[in-house]
Amino acid sequence: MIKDTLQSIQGVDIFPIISLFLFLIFFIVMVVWISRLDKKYLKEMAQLPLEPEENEFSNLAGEKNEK
Amino acid sequence: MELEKFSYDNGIVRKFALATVLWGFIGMLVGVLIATQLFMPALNFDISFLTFGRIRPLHTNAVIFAFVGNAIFTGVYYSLQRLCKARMFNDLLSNIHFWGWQLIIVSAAITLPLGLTTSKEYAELEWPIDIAIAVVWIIFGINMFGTIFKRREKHMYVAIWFYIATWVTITVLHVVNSLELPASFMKSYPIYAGVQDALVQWWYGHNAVAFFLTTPVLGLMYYFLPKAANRPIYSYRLSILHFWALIFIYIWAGPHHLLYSALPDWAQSLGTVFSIMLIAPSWGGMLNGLLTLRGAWDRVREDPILKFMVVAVTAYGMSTFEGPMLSLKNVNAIAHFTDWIISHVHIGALGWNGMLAFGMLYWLVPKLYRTDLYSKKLANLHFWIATLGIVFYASSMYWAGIAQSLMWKQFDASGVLQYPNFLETVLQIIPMYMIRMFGGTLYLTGVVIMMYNLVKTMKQGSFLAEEAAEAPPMDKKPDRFVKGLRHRWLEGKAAVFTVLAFVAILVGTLVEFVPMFMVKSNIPTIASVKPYTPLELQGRDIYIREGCNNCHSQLIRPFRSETERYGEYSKAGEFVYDHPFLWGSKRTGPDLHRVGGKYPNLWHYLHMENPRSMSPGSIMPSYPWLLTNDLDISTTPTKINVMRTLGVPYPDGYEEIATDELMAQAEQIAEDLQNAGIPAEPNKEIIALIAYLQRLGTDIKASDLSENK
Ligand code: HEC
Repeated sequence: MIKDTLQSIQGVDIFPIISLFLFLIFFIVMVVWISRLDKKYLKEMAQLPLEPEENEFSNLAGEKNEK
Repeated sequence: MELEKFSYDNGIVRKFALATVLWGFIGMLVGVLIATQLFMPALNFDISFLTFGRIRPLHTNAVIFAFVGNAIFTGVYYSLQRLCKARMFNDLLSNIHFWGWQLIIVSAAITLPLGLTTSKEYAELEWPIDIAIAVVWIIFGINMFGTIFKRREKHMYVAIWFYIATWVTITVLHVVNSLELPASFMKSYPIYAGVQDALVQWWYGHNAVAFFLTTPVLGLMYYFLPKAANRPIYSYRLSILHFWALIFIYIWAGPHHLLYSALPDWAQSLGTVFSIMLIAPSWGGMLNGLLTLRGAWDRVREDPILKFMVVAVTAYGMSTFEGPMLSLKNVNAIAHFTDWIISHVHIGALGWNGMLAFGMLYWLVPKLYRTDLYSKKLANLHFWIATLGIVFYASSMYWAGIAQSLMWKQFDASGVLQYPNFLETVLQIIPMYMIRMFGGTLYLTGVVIMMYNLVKTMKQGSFLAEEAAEAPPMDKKPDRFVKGLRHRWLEGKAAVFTVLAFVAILVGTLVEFVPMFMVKSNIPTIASVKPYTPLELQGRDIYIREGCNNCHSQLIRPFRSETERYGEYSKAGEFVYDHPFLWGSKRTGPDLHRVGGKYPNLWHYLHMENPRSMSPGSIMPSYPWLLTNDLDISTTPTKINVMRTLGVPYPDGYEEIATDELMAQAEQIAEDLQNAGIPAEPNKEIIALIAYLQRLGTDIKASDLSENK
């Protein structure tokens, strides 16, 4: 019943196709982009949270942060 | 270059951390209470404020928005300052955010037990609180973006992207799902009805899980896991992929909550396809987290913080694998409406969210107090108790879910239902409910141990409210790196980044919604489906107030086992006047969509007074106050008016005669009850509720159906 009504709406079946298409483009662009990123840059980004802090107390009883 | 001196605001981090622990305890305590009520219904003491239907939303809201919410803010306020090398944008905004959020939680804790609810899962709060949430959320946004714009570190670390995507998406979700028309202070009706309301609600519900319980917590993982392990994330490349794929795909998967419902097929299929695709980025993220610890597993054995995080990330992987499996139609057919789903969400909540929050707190509190953790032993004990609690919880609920499902579908040799009485299927799994309660209690005990440990840690340390820091101002010059297409260009441009994230989530939303709303005028109107009478409308609001939808579905799926048990399956056209929809998501009790006419009024009267009088052993709460409370009929004309504004075809001027019609119908029901020997008065709430229950599902008869096929 629902299906009939939906089919009577023009071009409703195009929606899933559009979605998949959009998604594919999106994914390809993204993968190309990410594969071309600079190694040095990636390394530096990954280090961001780890930069030394003022507060040098370790987090656990009796254990010092290894540097 | 000149170094700028400034300080990090640790005070706000501490506030959110304390709130996390406090609300976590309360939210889980309520959880244990309702878990106990499911095998000991007397534990609500026949007090309306304590009944299951009213406090289950309290539990879910407390855990999601109070416990996990405050944990997120704790982590965001700590990490954002460090990653941006800047103090929070504005201390006043930080504090308004903190106190505003707590105030919202308190108002939820008051209004939900009072039965002031919209009935939409995880969006139960009524419209004035919805507005408050929007305001506080925007203040948080200003504060966060303000900090990002004044940062001294040019590049935004991946954690910040997750925070940005969270903020953007939650804003959209909250606004769209809260579009409702007030009928009074603390009562409103959503502008959507029936199928559309369901679609919007589960687009919201699904993405609230995605963008409140997942993306911000992933941000925390990408910051605190490297911190705790003292080594960088395994692959930054993978984290970029994780981020974009996740936020792009997540939005599309909402319809998987509505498989086999009256939702159009194509939308259901879309939900399934995108759910399956979600496995890839989710597992990428999980592996990224776990591989960060490669070669450091000896430390994991030593360090309870890392243990918490490993279990958290593993639970993330498990639930993001299970989720897509549950959205396969044949798995869904078995698992939906059962306790299996309860197990699934608790792997996420207890495993992923809880364990990550605990790990973060154990790392953070000693840092803020410039000391070591008071007891590593107790932290280890907490870890093991919590893990054991999860095992008991999950296994008992899986068992219960599968057992339920099998019993619901079991036919005997002669082709009739083996368990025609729903209650039988409930009584079979009561032992599982007990084990679940035991698991939850273990987990809660762990939290108490943590509270003790953290308080002791605070006592032995000294709190550092203002943490001095220095950094050069942001380098405005072009990048040092030149090769390749640049994600880093994006990371230097917070505004552009935000817009792109917004576009990514919008695409999925539009593809889901546009056809749904094009269908609006086309949902097959079934001629015999008429608006509710004024009395039924009032009864429906009592059903909503008491949260009956927390145990009862109103959606019969097109399976023989369901049509045999409940009657003709539900059609989209039957719900066109349902503001809000009340399909429910769990069948602790039987489906009620076709309960109309199944029993005499007398049965309902006695059953509501004490379900055990009609159904011995039932775990449904008693509702004695419905028999004595007067029905508030003064609201009737307004409700009719609001409904008409929303498109329900009550004739002009109907509000003026509505009250009379209501009285007349109430008299009839009361008379019927009196004839049966019950001294019922027509002006009591029970009369309205009975009117509603007797109406349910009666609009279409077999004859109408054949005409409409
Ligand atoms: C804790 C979960 C729970 C809540 C909350 C709850 N019920 Fe029930 N309900 C049950 C269970 C279990 C049964 C099956 C046993 C029985 O008949 O009592 C049931 C049965 C029923 C039945 C009989 C259905 C049939 O086909 O036999 C009706 C009607 C009903 N409930 C109405 C309500 C209403 C109205 C509310 C809200 C005011 C409500 N219930 C709240 C669990 C619940």
